[in-house]
Amino acid sequence: MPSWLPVLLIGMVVALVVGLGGYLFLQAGLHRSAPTLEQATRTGAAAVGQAVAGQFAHALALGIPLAELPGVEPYLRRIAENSPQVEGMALLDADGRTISSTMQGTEGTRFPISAGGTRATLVVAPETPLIDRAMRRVWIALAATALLAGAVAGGLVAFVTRLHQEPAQRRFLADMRGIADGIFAVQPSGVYRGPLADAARALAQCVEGVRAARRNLVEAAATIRAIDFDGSLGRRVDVILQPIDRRYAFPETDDDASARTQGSSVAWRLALLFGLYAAAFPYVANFAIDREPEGIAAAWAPVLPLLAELAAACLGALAGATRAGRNGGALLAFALLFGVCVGATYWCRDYGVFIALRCGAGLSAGFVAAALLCRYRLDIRPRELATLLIFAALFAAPLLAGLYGEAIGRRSGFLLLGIVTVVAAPFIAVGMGASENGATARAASRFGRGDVLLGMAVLPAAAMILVELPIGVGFDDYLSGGGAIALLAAAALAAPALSPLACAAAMLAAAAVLHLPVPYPGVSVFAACALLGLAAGGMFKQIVDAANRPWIAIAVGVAGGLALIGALRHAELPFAYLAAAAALVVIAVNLAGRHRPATAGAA
Amino acid sequence: MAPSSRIILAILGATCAGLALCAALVFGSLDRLSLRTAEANVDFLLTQLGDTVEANVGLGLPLADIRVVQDLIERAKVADAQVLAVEVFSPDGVSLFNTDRGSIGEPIPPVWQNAVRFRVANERWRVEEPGSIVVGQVIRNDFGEPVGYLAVTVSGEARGEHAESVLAGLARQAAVVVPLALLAVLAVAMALARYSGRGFARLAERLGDAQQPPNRALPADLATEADRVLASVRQATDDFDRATADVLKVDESEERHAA
Repeated sequence: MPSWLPVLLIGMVVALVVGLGGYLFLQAGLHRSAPTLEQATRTGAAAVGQAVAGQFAHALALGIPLAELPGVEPYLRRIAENSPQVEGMALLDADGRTISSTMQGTEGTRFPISAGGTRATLVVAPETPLIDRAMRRVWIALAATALLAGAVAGGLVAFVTRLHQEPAQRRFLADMRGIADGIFAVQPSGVYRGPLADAARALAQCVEGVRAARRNLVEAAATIRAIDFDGSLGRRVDVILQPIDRRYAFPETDDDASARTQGSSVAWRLALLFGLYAAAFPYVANFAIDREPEGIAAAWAPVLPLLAELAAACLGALAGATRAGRNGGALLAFALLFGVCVGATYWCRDYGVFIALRCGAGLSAGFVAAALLCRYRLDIRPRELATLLIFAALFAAPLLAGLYGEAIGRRSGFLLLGIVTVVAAPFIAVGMGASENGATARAASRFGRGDVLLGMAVLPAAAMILVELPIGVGFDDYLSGGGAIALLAAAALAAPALSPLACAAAMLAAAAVLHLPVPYPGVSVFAACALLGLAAGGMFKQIVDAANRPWIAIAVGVAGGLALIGALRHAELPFAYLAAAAALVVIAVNLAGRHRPATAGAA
Repeated sequence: MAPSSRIILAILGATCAGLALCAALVFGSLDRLSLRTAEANVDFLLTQLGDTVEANVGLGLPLADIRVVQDLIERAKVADAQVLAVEVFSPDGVSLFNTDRGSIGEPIPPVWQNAVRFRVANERWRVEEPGSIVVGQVIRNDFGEPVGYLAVTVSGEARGEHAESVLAGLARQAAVVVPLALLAVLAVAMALARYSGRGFARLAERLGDAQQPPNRALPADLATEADRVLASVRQATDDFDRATADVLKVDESEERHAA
């Protein structure tokens, strides 16, 4: 069975089941809710009808004939437009002829008007646009939830297969090939139950038979040598043993399976940490501007908390990379602090306090991430780690945050996120023995061209994710914000490795899509997100192996994106300029690299 | 726990979380819709009252001196049974007109002040209190300056009943849907895990009982490797046994030679 088939099947089944469950929940909810809502809407429409009919009765009582009342239609239209529970209104004379109407064939509740000896009727057609609009959003949200659940389930299967099963299977098959060639060793697979473990045990049993035969031979040879006083017997034994020794090998088995398992486990912990951290992305910038800071330019209000948070995260990462990061207690304390800072945002009303809380979250998350990365040996390739982290942090987490923001709101979303983080803190920080990380050799390398290109690819995507979306389409619409971030991440994950020029072209296309007038501005933002994701993902896959300091490059790219979008907003320039500027820098760096001999470590 | 069991548990967890999120989304949307419907019913009242008060303010009268406001808000309360109270208060948060006349001159609750300060959107603000919802509107003079605020308190009882009813419906549906959904996912996941692991399960049988002919066919690549392994094991065992016998014969031949 191809490895993608179970991923696809599980993803589809879970998406289908969750989608169907969501549909049934909606039907159950509507069954209870619709009569109440329709009644409330009718009551509201009736209140409007009575008030308007009262106005007409007042006019009639003053002796003004209805036919001569000025501006009846604009008045009725204004009332209908400002009353969501009213679809249309019509004023009829005593004979039922329409004097004025906001729409053709208005039918609905009738309110008799009788005053000054004249009779008339006001017809109010109640409508449920609120219900229709809300249902459209619920459908979209349920579809997104089904998609997310399917993607997460499929992703789990894919990553577990990739990170755990395939390496164990590869080791097992290598052992089989070795045994077939006369090398009798079975490496511990790190898997203790299941078909693969059974097969490994059966293989070890086969090898044990050979080892037993070998032990008999060794004992026999030792017995002969023990009675060999002149060495003549030993020489004859050696003649027998030499071809056997040449043909078969019995190396000591590698007993480092636990370290390998631990390496994959760190990747999962990092994915969880990054996911919890990034789940706040759709909220932070719009929460910041809602605090209405005094003495800070509006352009910088959403950017400053993010810049401060990034600085704190870098400081935390520096601290986590030191000996302090080896302290298990400190690791747990910072993981808990992270959750507390996020959850406490629920009670935050002040801009300064919000910045302090985000700094606390950044500092603690940076510390834990760096400690995990530096303390444990990661048995996973950078590309696989990046895929896992992008999936968790930029696809699943923001979409999930957008969905529960839709369900429970932003402040409650922060609280829920904080609670989940506190609950998950022991899983992130506890339960692993220390193991040395040998992957520090590249830390001494200098910042190269690959790093610059990586930073430039990250720059517009970061500005889009952290600021442009949360204060744009994602303002008070967290599902759209989270969905757009997830789209960007999906494009990054799906992107093939692209040359720097192709990435620059994608960024320029994003700038053009945003800048050129299009009939649906929301669509252009989503298209730009896909293009920026394509550029960032394509660039990452092309040059990640050539980047000497990818983490620093990413941090610099994010900081640059935040600073530039703040400056652009201050100058009242559109976001498209930022994407275009990043594209031009990528082109310039690429051209400069062609004319210069490659330096050590450069792409 | 076998790796496949862990994955299946994680998949069931994701399914459960997805269903819980669906239920939360449905509940949240319907609850918000109920609130919005209640607000929409207040919108008209607020707009009418606000327009009338602003028209008087526009004549140049200070808000506190427009005595007709008290009659207006009392008539509005009487006209709608859902309206519990109507109040007009100054920018300092002191009640100027109130359907509860005893509260005139008293400060408004701090939660209202916070709402006015932080939650004004499209000239409206809202506070959800136990059993009631307060919807307010800014009153501005001709220069656009806020000169006061109008607050209508409507009963939240209907909303509470609506929420309870929806929750009960969702809970009843969840009691059926969630186990069925989990069973469906469990069945598919287990079948897939069994199918994808069958190659190694058969390989374990083949390696474990090499003397018996294989009962079930192995995938081609594993079959080749298994045959090579078993042949190698047999060959090696024979080689070692033969060598052991040869070594022991060295001793016997020496004894014969000595004899």
